[in-house]
Amino acid sequence: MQIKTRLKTVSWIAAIMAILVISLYAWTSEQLKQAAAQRNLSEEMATTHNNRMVLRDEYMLNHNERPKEQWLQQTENLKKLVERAQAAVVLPEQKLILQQIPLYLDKTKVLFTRLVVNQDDMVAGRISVAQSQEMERLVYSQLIIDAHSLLTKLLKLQRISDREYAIRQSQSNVLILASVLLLVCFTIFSSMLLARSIAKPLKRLRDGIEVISTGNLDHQVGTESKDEIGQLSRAFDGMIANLKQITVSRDNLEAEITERKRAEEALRDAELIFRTIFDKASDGILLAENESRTFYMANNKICEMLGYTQKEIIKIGLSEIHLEKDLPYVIEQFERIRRNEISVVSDIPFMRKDGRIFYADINSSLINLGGKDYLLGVFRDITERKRAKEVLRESEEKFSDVVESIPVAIYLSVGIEQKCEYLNPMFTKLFGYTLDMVPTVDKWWPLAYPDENYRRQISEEWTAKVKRAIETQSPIEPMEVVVTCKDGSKKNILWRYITMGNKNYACGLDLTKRKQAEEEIKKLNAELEQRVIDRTVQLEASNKELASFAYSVSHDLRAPLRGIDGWSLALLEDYGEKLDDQAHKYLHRVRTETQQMGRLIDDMLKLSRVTRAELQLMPIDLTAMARSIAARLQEEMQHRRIEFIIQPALRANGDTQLIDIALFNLFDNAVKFTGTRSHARIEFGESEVEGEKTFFIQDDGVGFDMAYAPNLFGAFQRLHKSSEFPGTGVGLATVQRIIHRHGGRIWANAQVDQGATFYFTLKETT
Amino acid sequence: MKTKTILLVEDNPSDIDLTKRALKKAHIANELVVAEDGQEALDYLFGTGQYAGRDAAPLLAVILLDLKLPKVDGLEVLRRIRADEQTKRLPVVILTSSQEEQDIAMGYDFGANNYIRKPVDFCQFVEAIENLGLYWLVLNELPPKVRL
Repeated sequence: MQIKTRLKTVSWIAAIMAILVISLYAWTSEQLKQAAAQRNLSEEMATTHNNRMVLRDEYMLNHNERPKEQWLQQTENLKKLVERAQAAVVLPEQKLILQQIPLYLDKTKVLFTRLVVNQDDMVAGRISVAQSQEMERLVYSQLIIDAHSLLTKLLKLQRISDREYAIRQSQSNVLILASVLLLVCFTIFSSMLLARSIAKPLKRLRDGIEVISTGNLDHQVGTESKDEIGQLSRAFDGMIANLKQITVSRDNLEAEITERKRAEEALRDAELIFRTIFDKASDGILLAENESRTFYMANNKICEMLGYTQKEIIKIGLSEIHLEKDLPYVIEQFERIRRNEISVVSDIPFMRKDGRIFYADINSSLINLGGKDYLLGVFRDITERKRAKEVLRESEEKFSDVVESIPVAIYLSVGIEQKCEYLNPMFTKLFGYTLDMVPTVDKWWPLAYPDENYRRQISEEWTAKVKRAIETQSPIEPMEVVVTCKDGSKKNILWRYITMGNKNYACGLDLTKRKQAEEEIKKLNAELEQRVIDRTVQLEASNKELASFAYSVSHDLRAPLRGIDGWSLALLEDYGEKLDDQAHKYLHRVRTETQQMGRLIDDMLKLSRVTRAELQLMPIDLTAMARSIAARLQEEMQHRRIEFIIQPALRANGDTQLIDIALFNLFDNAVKFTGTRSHARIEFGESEVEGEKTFFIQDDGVGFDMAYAPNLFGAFQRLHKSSEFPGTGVGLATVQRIIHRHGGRIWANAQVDQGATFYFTLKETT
Repeated sequence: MKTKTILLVEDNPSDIDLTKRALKKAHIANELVVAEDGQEALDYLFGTGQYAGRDAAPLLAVILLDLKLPKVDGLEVLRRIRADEQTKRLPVVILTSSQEEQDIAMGYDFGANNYIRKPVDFCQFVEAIENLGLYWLVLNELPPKVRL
């Protein structure tokens, strides 16, 4: 519906409603007027009746003619009023009252008339005064009663009229109010409806325009409604569509211009890019004319590969870069490329300008440039790859040889299912199983470890090792097991497990022989130990024997010597005079020999004690010890001039008593063999010999011939005559034993008459 | 006054005579009693065996004790001397050929007062005896209240 129509309709309805309200108002006014008329009539009747009663009473007082006349007049008036009222009223109770009123009127008229008659009679003397008065009193009272009844009726009528008027009035008010309200409501409602029906599409229209104003020309306001706004929006859409057409064509033009510019730039860039790519490409690129097979274009790489410059290369052709014998093959390959049969030619030998040969793969295609066919070849130098391949193949071969011939059983399994992929010959040789017998690790276990308890045990051990390896991020520790072979024999195997990717190499080293050897060694060791124990027991026994022998020697052997010496002396003392000089000389000789033998025995005992004594190692201040020994010797040799040079702070670990004996012997020796020197010089110090801490005692005495050096440390071995240098030949033997017992070495360096140096080491023990 | 006796416990007759000679040469004139084995020495000391019923206990200056003895060896004799209340304070000098450290140590352990090694050279022996006489017979006072 059009907005105009809608507005008209609403106005019409409003007008009709206004007319209705006015009519209603008129009707209710009429009703109210009637009610008012009735109410006035009732009032008038009541007033008239009241007047009548006043006139009646006035007449009764004066008995004048005027009240009488007026009363009658009033009665007539009332009668007329009642008639009027009877015609007007509608309510049944009013009608009932109005029907009763004329009866009362007639009755009062009759009674009043009688009073008048009575008065007249009295005046006229037709009746006595008394009679008249009596009569008057009777009639008058009746008249009062009736008049009063009538008044009551009239008042009731008036009350009803009043009530009726009030009802009418309130009804009228309510009606008017309601209709006005209705009218107002309708007006508001309809205007709202109307406003909405206009505002809503207007808003849509506005929103649409806003969208379009942002530049979206594709937006359609397009309301379906047929009203003016609908028409407006459609007209608007049409306008936008036109506008869009115009805009699009302008945009297209601009875009075309931009595109063309961009294309030009892109072309320039592309040219640069392709040129750069072409020149910098790590593969060689060569463009050859299809017909002439001469080169048309070449990049830097191919020039480098072939050893030509760019200028040179475009002057040559296929025949220059291939050996003659390869040419037919190469040409055939190119023919195939031309026929689109292949696109890659592999492993083609090329000849460089300098004659060297290299190999390349060519990825080739036929292209058309400016209506001319070209062969485009991309060359990849595969010389390195070929070499690497060769190396790899060789290494694989080597590896394969190693795996095939290594004396280690190798079981290669793959993936989670641990399917066996390879067994080396050693595996089969060692265990007797072939690949088809143990296709998976699961099949291997029960065969290799048939005893269920053992299998479980090593399985647990294995799991623990794997867990540990994962925790510590280290390889799985090797595991030693006993494998049962196919022939039932048992072998000690050390399994090492190596994982590479999804491949697991179990490498088994046969330890059976080693185990056996170990057992053998263990057995031998045990035997040896037993033998050592036995020997030790024997040695201890012989040590004991030696001790008791030494004891006997010291005690029993010396006693007779003492006797010989003592009694020889006694003989000399007691019978000296009776013996001649010769006899004296002999007896002295007997004593000398005896005493020498006594010393020999003592030295021998000392030597044996050195051998037997238990070592008690402790740190020794050698300097202090040497100084003390030197002092002792100096004391003994007061007649000699000996210079002792002792290096300070010499320290060693050893048995104090034994080292003291050794040092004393060496010093004593030095003192002894410098005896012929008027001024002897003896030096004790430390030096390094062959990286070892070595002590030395050097003298400037008579020395000795190194030829006899091997006998130097033997017991009872002497290098000098007793007459020259007395001694028993046990001293150095004792020294050597002591040094040896300390784990050290002793040796000497000397020259005849040039002095001697004794060196010794002591094992550095703590 | 009677000089105190020296008890020599020694089994070798040559050594006995040499000791006697050495004492003489050292001018030690004390009476010398010789016991030729350990048992005899003990008998002498404690009035047992052949010395049973001896009326007076010997008055000893020093005991010269060899270690290697028949029957009862020297160390045992020493032990018994030291174990007895009567003799435990007697001066005992071990006189022996043995130079074994063990013997020397044990000798002192058992309570020997001195240890003299009999040298082969008789002159040295005489010297040692002289020193001994000087020390034990002249210088050294006997322990009090010991009267054997």
